[in-house]
Amino acid sequence: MTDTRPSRIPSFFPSSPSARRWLLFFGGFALVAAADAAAVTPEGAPLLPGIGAWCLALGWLWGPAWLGAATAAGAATVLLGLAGPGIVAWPPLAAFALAALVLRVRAVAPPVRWTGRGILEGGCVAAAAALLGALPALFAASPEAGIGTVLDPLAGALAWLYPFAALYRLAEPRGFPPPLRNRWGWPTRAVDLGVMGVCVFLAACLGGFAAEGGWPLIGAALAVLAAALTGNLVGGAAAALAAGLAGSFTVADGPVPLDLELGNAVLVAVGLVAGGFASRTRERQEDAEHTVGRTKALLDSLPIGLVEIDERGLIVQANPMAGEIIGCAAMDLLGHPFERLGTEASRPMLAEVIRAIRHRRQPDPRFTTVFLYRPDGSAREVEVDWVYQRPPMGRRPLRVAALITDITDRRRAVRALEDREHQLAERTDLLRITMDALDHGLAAFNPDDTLMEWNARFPEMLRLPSPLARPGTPAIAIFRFLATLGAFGVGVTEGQVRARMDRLIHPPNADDVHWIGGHHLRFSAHTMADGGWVWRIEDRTEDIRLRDIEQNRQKMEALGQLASGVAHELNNTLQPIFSLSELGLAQAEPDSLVARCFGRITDAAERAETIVRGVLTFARNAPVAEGDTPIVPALFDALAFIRPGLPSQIRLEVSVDDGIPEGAAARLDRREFGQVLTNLVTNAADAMDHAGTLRVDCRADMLRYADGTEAEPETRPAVAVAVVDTGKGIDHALKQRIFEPFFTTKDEGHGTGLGLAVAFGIVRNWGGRIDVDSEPGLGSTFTIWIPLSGPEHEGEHAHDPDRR
Amino acid sequence: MPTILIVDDNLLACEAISLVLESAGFQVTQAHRVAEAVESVAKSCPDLAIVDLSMPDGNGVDLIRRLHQSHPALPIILYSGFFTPEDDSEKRAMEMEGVVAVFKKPLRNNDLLAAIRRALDPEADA
Repeated sequence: MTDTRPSRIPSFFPSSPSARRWLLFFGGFALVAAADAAAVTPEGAPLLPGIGAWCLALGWLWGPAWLGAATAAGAATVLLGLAGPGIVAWPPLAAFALAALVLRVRAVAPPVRWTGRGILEGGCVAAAAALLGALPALFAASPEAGIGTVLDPLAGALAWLYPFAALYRLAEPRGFPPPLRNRWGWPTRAVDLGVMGVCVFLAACLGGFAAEGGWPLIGAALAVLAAALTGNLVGGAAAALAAGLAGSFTVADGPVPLDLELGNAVLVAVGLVAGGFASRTRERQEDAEHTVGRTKALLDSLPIGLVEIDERGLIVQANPMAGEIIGCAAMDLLGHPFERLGTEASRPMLAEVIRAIRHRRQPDPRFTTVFLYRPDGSAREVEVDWVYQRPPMGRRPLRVAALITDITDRRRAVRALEDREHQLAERTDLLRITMDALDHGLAAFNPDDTLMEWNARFPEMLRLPSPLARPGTPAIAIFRFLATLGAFGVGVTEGQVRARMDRLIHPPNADDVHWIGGHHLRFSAHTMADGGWVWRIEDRTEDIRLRDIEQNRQKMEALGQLASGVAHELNNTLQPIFSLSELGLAQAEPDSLVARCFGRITDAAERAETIVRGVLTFARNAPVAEGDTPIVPALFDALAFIRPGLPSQIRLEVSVDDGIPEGAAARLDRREFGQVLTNLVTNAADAMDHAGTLRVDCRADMLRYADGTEAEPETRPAVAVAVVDTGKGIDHALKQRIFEPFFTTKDEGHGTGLGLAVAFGIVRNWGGRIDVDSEPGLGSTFTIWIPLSGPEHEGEHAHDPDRR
Repeated sequence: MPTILIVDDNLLACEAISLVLESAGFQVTQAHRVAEAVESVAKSCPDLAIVDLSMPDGNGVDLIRRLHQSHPALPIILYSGFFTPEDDSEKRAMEMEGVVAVFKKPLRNNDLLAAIRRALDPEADA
């Protein structure tokens, strides 16, 4: 419904509706007045100006498109009335009215629909045309009759034109809101036309009464009544004025038949009132239609489907978007039950909504999400906003607007987003779990070197107190803290600490191993694209320990080979010394100087032999003893043998852990076991300056074999025997060499430097391990790990000569 | 006077032991190589051989096997600088045919002489 009004109105017409109305009103009035004044003698002529006024009214009534034509027709009729007998004017007037009606019908309601309303429209138009067409015949049937005798029925008939026209307007289809009922629920149009009909009928009937002389009063009263009833004060006032003027003409021109003039005046008044009323209604309606047109255009352009549903649940209106959502033309939706559009799953919900509408309730919930089928079988997810306004009682038919928003794509997008968020959350969780499960410490720093994210190991490894383990902690604060732990040595300055940090965080991110909290921690950093960096901390303690063990093992092996070669050569060399010194001793005079000399030579050779034997013990690779020796009893036996030899100020404490399996045994030689323990305990006693408490702890442990490769070290159950002294302790540097043969810290002449080397060789032959842990000034702990024998322990790592 | 063959590549050791044996009244022949030893045994038929296990031109074990094959009655005393007290190679050497005693270097004169006497006169010992 587009607004084409401006193009249809001739340009010389005032564009303002009210200006047009006044122009035509007074124009018509002037014409009527002029005709009235002119129509004095010929019979029938005075009637014509009334018809002209009617034409004006009709033209007004039927809209601006025909306004000009109706006005022109009215004017023509008036002129015809002035020029000759009024009869002549009727046929063209009737034809014009018919054409106007037909065209009007076609213009207003294209295409004609054969509904009850359409048929009613057509009927009204036909009846109006027939009545108009019948009027000339009415005149023709009684040409002799005085014009006054036909005036009353003619006035009535003409007056009834308006009701028909009003009925036509009533039947005319229109958009919304259709104010079809008044506050009492009566059809507005019907009331209007009824009132008007009564007024006109009264006017016509009172013609006779007015002839007695009371007409001006009656005319005025009628005008006021009409104005009051129609609400059109202008029309009423104009009618009163017209009646008064007509009266004045009548008084002035005496000979004019009173009833004719009266009827004429009434007609004019009524016509004007009706015209005014109709024009106002028409204006209002056109404005409304214009508004409706705009509103509808707006609604049509909305990206929201709009469907109006009546109380039966049938679609009575749908905008193009609704059709687009549902996948068909909006027109095809009309008359379709809305419920049937839903998928099977959605229908109960829709049925519930329709039930609520039928019971004049706001559907609850107001917003529903349902699936609607499309003709191609696919379904769209839509959100429907049920706009229900409780109508004033009986005010208008119950309708509910359903605002349909297609949320399929939105929902899909939301779902995808939710999926992505979910995935992201899962990944974040996974990352967090992974980070926390890592054995490395990890922390991410912002480009401004403040802490952003870290895993559980990070603060744990660095011994970070909780105030430092917070987002936003500057990296330098952490480094300063590490400096207090002695990670960068003793007495480092702020500048050195900063230099340490810079070395880590600036490429090439120099790696460093720091000694923190008893662990070797290797720091490394990875720079990120945004300038941030990740600090990685790796605990290398075990690696370094195993590496040291392996290095030591290799060193000891090399030393062993060397020592073994030297020892054999020495044995060969000792042979003639022994042989000849003993021979010399035997040949010399007893107690002579020579005999004493040979005796000392033999003594020296014996000492040399002892040393060589020690070296060979350290170096040899003897096979393992065959029998199993229970470790704990062997330990006590050995200690019982050692104890008497210890200085009396030394207290020997022995503890055996409960964790040692009952009857734990190893393939070792008791004599060797005794020798190892003797060496260790004697050493400990020497380190303690022969006073204090010396502890021997025996516990179950695992023995790890490092084979110098990257592979995971193998482990075996073992018994660890630790000899703990509270002596001088050993420097870290010395610790590396302590098992080397001839390495001694003792004064010249005390010890051969072979005790620990021999112990090392023996323990190694058992397949065990010996190690020292020492803190200078606090004492040392020498521990030997003796692998347990027995099939359940030896399985994988039996002493197999092929293995090495 | 029993003749004793000493086979040792260490000249000093060889000389010293022969001095000890000679002073104990034995006639001593020295050999420093496997080939020499084999030749010497074939030529002089010693009553006893003292053999060092490590030789520059051959293994003492091989030499003992050969000596025993050619002279099954020859008692052999084995000694070596490579024995260690707990080494079972000493035990294995003891099990060889013809070997009557095994010593590790440095061996003592009294031990050696006792072993020689025992080997040369089993009855006296019994």
